Amino acid sequence: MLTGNKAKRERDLATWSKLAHAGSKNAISGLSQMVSQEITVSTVSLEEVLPRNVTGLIGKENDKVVGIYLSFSGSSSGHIMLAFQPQTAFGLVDMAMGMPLGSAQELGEMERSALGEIGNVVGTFFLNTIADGAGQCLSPSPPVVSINTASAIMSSVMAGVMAQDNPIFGVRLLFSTEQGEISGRFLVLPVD
Amino acid sequence: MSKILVVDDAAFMRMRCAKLLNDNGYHAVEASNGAEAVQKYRENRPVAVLLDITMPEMDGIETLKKIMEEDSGARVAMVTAMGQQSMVIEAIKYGAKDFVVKPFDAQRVLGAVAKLTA
Repeated sequence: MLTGNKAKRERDLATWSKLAHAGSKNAISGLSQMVSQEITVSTVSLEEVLPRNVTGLIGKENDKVVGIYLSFSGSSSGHIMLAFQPQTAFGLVDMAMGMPLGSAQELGEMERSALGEIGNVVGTFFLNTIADGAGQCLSPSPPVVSINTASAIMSSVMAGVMAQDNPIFGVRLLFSTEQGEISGRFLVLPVD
Repeated sequence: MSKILVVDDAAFMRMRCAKLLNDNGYHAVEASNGAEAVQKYRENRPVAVLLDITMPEMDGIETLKKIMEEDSGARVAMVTAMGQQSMVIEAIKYGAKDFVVKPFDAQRVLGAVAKLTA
């Protein structure tokens, strides 16, 4: 999405930044609907990162993280990752399933399915905004839910990206509820 | 009690939908893929079907075609994510009567089922 000479790159960046803000807002509205909680976006940033450093966008290398990963394809392609601390992810499952907080304690089939659906909705809401704004057609893949260290999760799904040398632009979004029950990271890395 | 067939590959969505229907006087029958949906339709003859569009192997459109071959009067509402308008239009062409957008609102689901079973 962001290629070419410097002037074009800056124009692309401005357009992409505007779309990313709108898309992020829409994505979080999808998350709010799924868990029936008011969630606010605290930071939306467009960052240029070296592929080998992408793990740092979701946490410290050895931090245990629940990751919900989707790729997207169509007019452009790339990667989407939602990352939460495990207790936050379990809280999201409880909210989505209408259970008291603290009910979910592990990632069984139902918990993975709930988180996958959350990823589906958040990813789709983001991509639809970008697609509508840029006149593109973008489709998400089925979600993959995993629990591991930040480093292992990123290596398993983004090995191809991490092997590249050129910097890539990513959208990084931090969000939370007022009471702080939910805070997480939403990352979008377009690759072409 | 009216039987409603709920077809979705996501266990969470089936559970949520089935609970909503069972709590509101319907009897939900669940299927996790297209082939199972056709088989359960044949066995149960539900009064309505809530059918997810995006499923692996046999997707919602293919499943809809098979169900309509089984019963041309089948009453099916497609369950779809935002941005799948073209697939919804295709589904309506093949006989779907309504659609519900995810993440779904309970009243919207119950409204669609009430319309299908009227």
